[in-house]
Amino acid sequence: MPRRPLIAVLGCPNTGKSTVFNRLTGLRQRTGNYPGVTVEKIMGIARLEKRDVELVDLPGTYSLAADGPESGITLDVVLGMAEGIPKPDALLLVADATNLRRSLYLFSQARELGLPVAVALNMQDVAERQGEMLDPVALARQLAALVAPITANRGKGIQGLRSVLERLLAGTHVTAVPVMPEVREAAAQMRTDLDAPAPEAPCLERAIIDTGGEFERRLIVAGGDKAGRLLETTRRRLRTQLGEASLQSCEARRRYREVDRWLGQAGATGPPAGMARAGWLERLVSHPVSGPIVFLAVMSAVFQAVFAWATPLMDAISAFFEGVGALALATLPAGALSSLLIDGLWSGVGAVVVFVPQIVFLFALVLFLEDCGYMARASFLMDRLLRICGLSGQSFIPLLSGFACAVPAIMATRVVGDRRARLATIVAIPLMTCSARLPVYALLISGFVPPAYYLNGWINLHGLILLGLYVLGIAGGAVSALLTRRIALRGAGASFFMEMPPFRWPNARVLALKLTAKVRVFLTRAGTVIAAACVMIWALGYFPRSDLIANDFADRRAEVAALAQEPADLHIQLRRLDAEERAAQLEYSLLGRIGKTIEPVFRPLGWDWRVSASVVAGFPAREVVIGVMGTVYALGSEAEGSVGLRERLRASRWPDGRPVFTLAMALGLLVFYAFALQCVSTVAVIGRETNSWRWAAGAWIYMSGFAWLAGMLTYRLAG
Amino acid sequence: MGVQEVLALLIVALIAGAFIFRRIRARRRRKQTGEASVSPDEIGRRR
Repeated sequence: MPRRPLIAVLGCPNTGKSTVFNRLTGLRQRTGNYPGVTVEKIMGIARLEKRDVELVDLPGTYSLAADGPESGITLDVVLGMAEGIPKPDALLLVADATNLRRSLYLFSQARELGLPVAVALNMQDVAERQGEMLDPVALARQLAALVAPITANRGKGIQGLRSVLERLLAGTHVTAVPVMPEVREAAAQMRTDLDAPAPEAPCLERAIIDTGGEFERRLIVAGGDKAGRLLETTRRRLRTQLGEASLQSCEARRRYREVDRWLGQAGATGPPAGMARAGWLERLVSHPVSGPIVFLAVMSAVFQAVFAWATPLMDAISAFFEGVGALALATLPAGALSSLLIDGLWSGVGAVVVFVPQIVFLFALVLFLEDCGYMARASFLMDRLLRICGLSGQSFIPLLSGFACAVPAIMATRVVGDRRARLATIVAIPLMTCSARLPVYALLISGFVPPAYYLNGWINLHGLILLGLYVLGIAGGAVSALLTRRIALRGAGASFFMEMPPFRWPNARVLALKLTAKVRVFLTRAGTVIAAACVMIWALGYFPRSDLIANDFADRRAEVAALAQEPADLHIQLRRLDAEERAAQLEYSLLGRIGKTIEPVFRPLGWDWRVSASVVAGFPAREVVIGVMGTVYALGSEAEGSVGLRERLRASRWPDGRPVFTLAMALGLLVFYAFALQCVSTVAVIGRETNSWRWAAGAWIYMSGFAWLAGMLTYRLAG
Repeated sequence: MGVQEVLALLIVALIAGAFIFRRIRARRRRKQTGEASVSPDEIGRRR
């Protein structure tokens, strides 16, 4: 069967590119990653008038110049060099009708690539309201390309766009004359002079023009120092020939001149479109005084909503997993297999799935704020504050997401263009107080901090400590980012360049599609890693088994059964014995032995082997530590967070009779949890997103070391 | 060690094996794609 024609969809950020893609493909799409880089690859099938075509949604870009492997993807795909994607048959450029000048700059580059290009003139409704409507026919004549006027978020003009794509594939194509013919000639000359296999002509042209760019790097990696010297000579010769200090500015000047000519002849008047669109809302959210107030109000509302809406659903999911687990426990014969299924796999899957409501609400609200245009303003407002830590406004949304869960937050750092700032953001995110820390905080604060009230009962100590832990996380994140930028990733920060999209009402269907894709990625990626890790921890905590302990408890059960008078009393005693046997077997298991072995490491923090083993076992996910403590302290998981567990923790003693859990030890443990990277999914995602396990290991070692030190100091100072 | 324990251990080994296999396969695939396997810190070093 012949393959379907492939059309690559490209455009500047915020032009509605993904909306157009979603409109054309509907649910017939699949997401993945471009190999080796963290750019999402989204492909889908669109039905045109006579045939189906395949579409590939490219990352938003203002130009084909690439400053990193991520931004090089656009040219890779267009030239057929991306693995798993054939060379496209045509290009669809989605342009913002209210800001055509910038989109047409990209068009001016795309038309030189040797592929037919059609333009989807999006956001016609906004352009119409602003009186910036351009005659599509006149524009098509100027561009010598097919143009389809559309309003993608309302689905207007999509049928016309399908017909334009049909004609685009059927028609003949003439490649445009290059704007920089001198560079093309120089590239041809370089190809003959290079020993190593030369890259595709457009890549070589970009390597010549973009000093320090991705294609220069690739050329030098492939061709070595000789290629580097040849490139420098070519650049020098071109600069003299053109009488220009910079080839990039020369290209920009020529292309904008061409774009302005097209726009002028197509009937555009006045200043470049999109300059004057600030209404009252714009003034309110961007004002130096009202802007931060609105921002704080919006963010508080988002957090309140995430916690308030997600909690009942999370409780329901949790109850479902516990209910099914209890049912399975009652149905399946007791033994290793049922324990593996229930305590290992089922709890592991449950630990991930329980966070889905929070992820859904957080992403839904963030996507809504993004799509309506508010997030761009918020990032701009936060830019100055983040700059102090060596980050930029682009890091703001990922850092904010870190308060719900570090896994999607680290994935969200893909929006940070500068590599160094992105890595520093990734290092800072795990220190934000994620929701998985809350159960641990709640248990320890309510159990070991005495209740105290100040200012006539308006402020209570428990709340203050919780707030303090949040502030501690933020401060830790800021210091981490700063240290990373100053020590490991020195260099000037990239300038933060972003376009303010107009305020608009997001489309529910598009939001739903984006949300589904995000949740799917979260479930499959984090789910596989965390479920596997939970099974491993289960095995460590289950094996080896001691027959001696089993026989001893069998005898004790028989003894209790013989002495018990009430059936209810017998049941309670048997359950207690079960729990005690589990604790004894755990102490005998590999995990118990590890706990005993590492106990000296954590002794300075005031922890006994049980706490040490629980913290090690809690590595798959922070909240797991409570379940593990429940087992370690001879209580079943049904006692999680309840008074029973607190009482048991309070009652635990060192061999000399001193209590293990004191206020100082609990405070130290809280501080340890505030800083420690106790989450295997976060470590896995850091590894995946940085494409380097060294970063993941480095972050884990650094944070664990820092957490140990801070926990120890807190224990000593408070003791 | 009973049959259940042996079976449970086998399943754990299977899951661990599948996990390691996936990692090796992904690494091999990245290596085959050449340029795309370059990690951000390697790029930093080369620059």
